[in-house]
Amino acid sequence: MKNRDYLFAVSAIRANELTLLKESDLEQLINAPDYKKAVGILAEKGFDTPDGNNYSKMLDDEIEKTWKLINESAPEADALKTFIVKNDFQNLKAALKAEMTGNDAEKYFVAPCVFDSGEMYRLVSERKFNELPDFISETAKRAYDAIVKTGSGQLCDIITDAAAMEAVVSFAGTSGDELLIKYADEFCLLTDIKTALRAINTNKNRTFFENAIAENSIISKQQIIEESLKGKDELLELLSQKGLSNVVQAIGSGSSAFEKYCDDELMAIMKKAKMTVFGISPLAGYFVARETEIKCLRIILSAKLSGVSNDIIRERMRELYV
Amino acid sequence: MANLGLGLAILGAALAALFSGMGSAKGVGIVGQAAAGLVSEDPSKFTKVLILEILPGTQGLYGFITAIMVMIKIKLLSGAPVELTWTQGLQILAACLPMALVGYFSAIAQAKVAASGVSVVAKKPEQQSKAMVLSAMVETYAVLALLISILFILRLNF
Repeated sequence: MKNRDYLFAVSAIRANELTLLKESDLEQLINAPDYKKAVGILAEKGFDTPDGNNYSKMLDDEIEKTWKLINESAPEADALKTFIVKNDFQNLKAALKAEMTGNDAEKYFVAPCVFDSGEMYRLVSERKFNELPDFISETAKRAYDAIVKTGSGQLCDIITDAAAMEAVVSFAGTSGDELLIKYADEFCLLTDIKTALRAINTNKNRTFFENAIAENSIISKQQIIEESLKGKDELLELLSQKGLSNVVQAIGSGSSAFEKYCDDELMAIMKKAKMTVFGISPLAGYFVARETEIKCLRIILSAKLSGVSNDIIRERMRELYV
Repeated sequence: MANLGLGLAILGAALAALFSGMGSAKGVGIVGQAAAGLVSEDPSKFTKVLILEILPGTQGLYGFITAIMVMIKIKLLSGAPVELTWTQGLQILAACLPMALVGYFSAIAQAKVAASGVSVVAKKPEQQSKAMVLSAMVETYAVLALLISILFILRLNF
């Protein structure tokens, strides 16, 4: 695909960017006295009305609508699968666990995804892992073996999560788009750091780290594992040496602050797409913008339901695209 | 050799019309794609983007003017073309080259700026005039090439 082939889609998406929520809109929602009023404000802005307190489906539908819009506008949106391929690994976990426990997998499936979730469930049920797409078949076999041999759902989770990160990087790499590659590398690194910190706090062993940490192009997997096994201070020292003192500072501010820092860092990368006219980056920027918007809405609506103070909600708000 | 001179002159006129026309067709197509994307989401912006789409079309017109000037110069339109030596024909061919080449490349360059301008109109329609000015800057070089080609053609003595 030539960069110019996306001109139609980019212009259509630019028109849709006008409907993205701004900081002032989020502030209005935060200041809403209760959940009902917040939902009312969202309805005025064109969102569907959720069924009672179940806002999750309404927000999931919004993401699906965004994916559909991009797919309908773009001549080919394979590169953007970078952003949804992690959902396939989520669906794989759901299918494997449902298969082991006999629970209904459907309700744990997430969309949009690269490979049809129903078909994935069928192939997992029939143990036909080789018929799964190449990017996930090997992981499916490994995760299945782990869950069968050890009975450990956690081992299955860490294997699929690490493979998901590597798939994100791989999909971005095949797109050839610099912004997407940078986004994926940073996403993988930050996820590795989060995983390593959680593993350090729970005193996990080397095997756990080997399975849980994904390969990333910024700091080698082995270095992260070695320093993490020595302790948190050593990991932070490694990050400082690699010029990631901002990350170290964010970790020091607490887990919520670090989560927010990670999302804001990724958004800072994607914001460069606002200055681009040719290529797939503006479409990627819009998708990330919508994902972030939905994440903020989840935080606000959930906080409104549980009566969390407005100041705490504000602290958790992510950097928006517009 | 007289036929060769006339042939070279006609080749010059044809190249001016051909390359400028190709550049404009490509350019208008590029902006058209971007414009259609915006109109699919917001039809009210049609007239604003139409102006941007027209801009890279001017090079085709300049190439057409250059070709007509050559045809007048060699009296091709009257049906009794002047006799030209091969050097005179070559002079006319050379005179047409600025319009042919600058016309082609400037139309595509202008289209890229105009397509970017469509994004400006999508997000800030009130800034349409600035998008037009940015795109029109590229036009300067097509106009200069047209002037040079016409001055050459007019000043050739035969």
